[in-house]
Amino acid sequence: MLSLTSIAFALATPFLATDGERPSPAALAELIDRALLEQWQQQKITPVAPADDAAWLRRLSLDLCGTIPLREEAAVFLDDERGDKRLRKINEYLADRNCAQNFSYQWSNALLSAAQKQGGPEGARLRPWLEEQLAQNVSFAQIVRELLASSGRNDENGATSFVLSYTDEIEALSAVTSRTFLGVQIQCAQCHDHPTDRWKQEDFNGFTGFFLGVRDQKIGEMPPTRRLVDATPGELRIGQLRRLRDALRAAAMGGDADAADLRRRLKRGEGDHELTDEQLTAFLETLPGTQRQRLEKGIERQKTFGEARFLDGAAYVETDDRTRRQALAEWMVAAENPWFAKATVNRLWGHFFGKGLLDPVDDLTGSQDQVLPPLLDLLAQKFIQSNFDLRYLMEAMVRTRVYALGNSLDDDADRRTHAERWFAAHPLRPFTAEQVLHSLQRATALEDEKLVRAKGEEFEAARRKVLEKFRYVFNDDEGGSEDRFAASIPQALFLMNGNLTNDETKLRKSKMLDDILDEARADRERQRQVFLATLGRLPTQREAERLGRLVKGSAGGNKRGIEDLFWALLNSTEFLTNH
Amino acid sequence: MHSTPRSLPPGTRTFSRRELLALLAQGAGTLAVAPSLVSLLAQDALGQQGGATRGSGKRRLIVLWLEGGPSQLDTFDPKPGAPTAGGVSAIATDVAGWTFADSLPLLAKRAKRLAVIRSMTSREGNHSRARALVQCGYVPNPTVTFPSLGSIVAHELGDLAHDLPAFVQINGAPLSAGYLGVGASPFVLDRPEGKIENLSYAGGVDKNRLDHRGDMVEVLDDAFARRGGEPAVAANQSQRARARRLMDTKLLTAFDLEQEKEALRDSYGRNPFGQGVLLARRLLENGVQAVQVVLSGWDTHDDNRNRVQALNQQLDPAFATLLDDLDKRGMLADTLVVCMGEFGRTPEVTGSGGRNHWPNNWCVALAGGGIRGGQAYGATNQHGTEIADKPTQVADLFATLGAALRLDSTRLFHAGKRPITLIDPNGKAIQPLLA
Repeated sequence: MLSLTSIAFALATPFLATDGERPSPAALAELIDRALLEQWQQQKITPVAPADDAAWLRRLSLDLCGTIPLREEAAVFLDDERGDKRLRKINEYLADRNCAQNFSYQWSNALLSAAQKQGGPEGARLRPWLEEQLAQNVSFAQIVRELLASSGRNDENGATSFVLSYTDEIEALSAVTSRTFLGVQIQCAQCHDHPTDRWKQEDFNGFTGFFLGVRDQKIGEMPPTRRLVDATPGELRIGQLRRLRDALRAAAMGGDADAADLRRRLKRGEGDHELTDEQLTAFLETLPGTQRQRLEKGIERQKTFGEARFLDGAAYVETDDRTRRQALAEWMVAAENPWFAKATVNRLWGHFFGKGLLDPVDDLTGSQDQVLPPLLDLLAQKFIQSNFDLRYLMEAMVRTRVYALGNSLDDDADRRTHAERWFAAHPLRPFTAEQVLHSLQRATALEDEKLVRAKGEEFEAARRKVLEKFRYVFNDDEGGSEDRFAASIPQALFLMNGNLTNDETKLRKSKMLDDILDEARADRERQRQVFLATLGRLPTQREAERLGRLVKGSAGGNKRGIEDLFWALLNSTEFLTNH
Repeated sequence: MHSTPRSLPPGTRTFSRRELLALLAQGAGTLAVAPSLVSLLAQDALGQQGGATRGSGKRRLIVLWLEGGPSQLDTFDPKPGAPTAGGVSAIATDVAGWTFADSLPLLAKRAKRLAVIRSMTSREGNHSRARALVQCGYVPNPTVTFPSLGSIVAHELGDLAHDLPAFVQINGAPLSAGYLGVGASPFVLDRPEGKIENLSYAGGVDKNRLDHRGDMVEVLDDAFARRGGEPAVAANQSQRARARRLMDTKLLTAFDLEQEKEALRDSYGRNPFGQGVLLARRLLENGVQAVQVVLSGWDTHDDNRNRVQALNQQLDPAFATLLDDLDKRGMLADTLVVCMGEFGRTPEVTGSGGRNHWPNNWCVALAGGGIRGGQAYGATNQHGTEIADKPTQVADLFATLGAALRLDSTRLFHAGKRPITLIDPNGKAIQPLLA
């Protein structure tokens, strides 16, 4: 085991360059490393040895670009002797379109939690929009502002697709907004107050109030086009009246003279002003039970969510020049907001280091498990100062020596967990559905078009369909945790017997295998190349010997043997793990 | 970016891969050791409590899930003659004074076996939330994913060393096993007949070649385990072993409906639901612990009367034949059958002849193991617009099901840091329904 100082010495040098005017990721990385180093010393935790180049590159590629490195890329990187090669790679990946695409999946998964929505037309619009913003490194404050406050057509502005996904259930919209962007779980208070919970029902209702009045207007069917609009408070009341009018029509047809009279006045447009609460109540009394209940429910809803209220208790004043959603968005992304920056930082930390500084990542005010609160505060402060620059934050995190640590070799599960919790060893993480799909594609050189057999506009939808299947088979709707290692039978069957791992490892069917066989004549070199294509590393001597014997022993000779080896690599635990 | 992580329950005994290899080395002189190793591996992946007894004598479960929210007024709580009747008339059952909708004639003749709760109520009128509530027994909460009833039964009562999966779902969108882990999640068939996806050997690969490939994977996994990948390797290996057992097991004939008599297949109904229910019986016979069969289409916002009638024509023969069939085979006493959907439908019929979502009052039908049949529990008022007697929450239903299944409802699990009992402790088992 290396000592702390030797790690610091071994890995510090390439990362100490400063970056001029821009807030310096290098400086922030240094702060992170120092904070953890201090913590380890205090607690007498010995960090594990650093990951080797191959493991580090694969991890970086998976975390930033969502897929394993290309075969040639891994080979070049391993041979590269320049001292700053890791830093070069970080910058290359951060500017890579795959990186924007990867994070667009992460965010749209978080925002549209139900698989149905992700696969639907709004998901197909939201994700590419997010990808574009991330590719341009638009300030995260601006991205969130647009997600929450945009109005208009979904075919012109993909940001509207977030709110449009929830127009008929604003309670869910409210819950997902506070959870994802603030790390505040108010939804438990939706039904009633819990004695131990800080958040009360009035908090939930007040926050949800900012979405009262969102409405969609249908524009076209194929493809489904809608417009997102906000009702004004006056319009909201008319909305209620419209429902009332339907009820009146039914009652009037049933011979109710009062109802007929009220209905005539409503029709003339007098209702909005003339219908008092007393009249309304009196009329509701006369309706049949189910009709009355439904109408009362709508009115109740307006009463429940009518008063918008900020979560920190700040007063909300309704004005004509902005919608409630616009007011909410400004409050959310303001530098003074106590949660927004922290929630984002913690979520990204969890993405790169396996667990948030606060765990779970999206429960800042309820978490019972937090390490190094001052570090989270510091990172949030820096994130705000950078004007919510995601790329700056990401670069700082992956430049750290902490990120570059290897895995724990400890047999003792408790000690291993402890080391990982204090980030003194990098955790193992099974692939997400996206990572399985994209990595299988990379490893076999399978092009998108071949996989989804669709072109142009339908491509995104077809791709989502493939992904849905993966998402089911690889069952990652649970979020990350230890027991995700309990892989499922369908997953094992898919990898063992499925078309993808079988067809794409066959000679004359697999582009990757054909390329390798064309390039390399010697069996040993061919084996090295399939290792690079799948695991991004070369076989150890022991592996080369043992597997070499098995390849030779394959029925049908060495060419069948290399097919077998390629298949086995895709079925190996290492291939399916981000480690 | 992850949310809502969970961890294994406290006191969980897991075997490290090295311990297992050591076990194998100690006793691997004979092949007879292999099954117990396999069962240890299976337990390992699922985080089973060591030493827990598994196997025969446990109650089994069939859920007939009516997706979309079945109309109570057109099934088990008809109100003939009322303005809310929706054109449905009622027929007498073999229990005096109790009626069903007229399109359930076969079930009406078997009402003695059925217990129907007519006073179910919830606050969830949105499909996905209501589905989560009624399938898992807890009010949905974004911070926890709860397991569905089938996963609970698989995890608590299923034999995980068995060749067949402990929980199979036929038709419908796959259910999550939530904090119980994917090992307890259902093996899903999207139709009851035909080839099961990815279950047969790939073209050009036979048993020998797959074994040979498996040897290569073993070399790779062994190396990865030594470099720190051990926890992941152990889980993958156990699932691969289970997948291989499933591919090669003689019990695969359980999935083959051709082996049933034509007449019996006819009486279950020649449609995916009827054949699915028949398959459920076959699977239970062969060691599967829980099966859920889905019949979709109950979201009748228009043309309610005709659509429900058509659905009843599938539900009635399948459910009725299942009861007869289980009884004939001596399986009814230890098989709990639950027929339910996510909510009921409005008493009022809309202009387009539909009924909308209605969680206020709805029905659940129970039969078999642990249930005292021949009774209706709770009641709605004259027009079916409100509950008149014994309002029953979903938590009460689950407490009752837990008792009928003889589950330890109070068993504690952890979702993240949060302790959770297997079944919502707010529910109270309904004693009169229990045998």
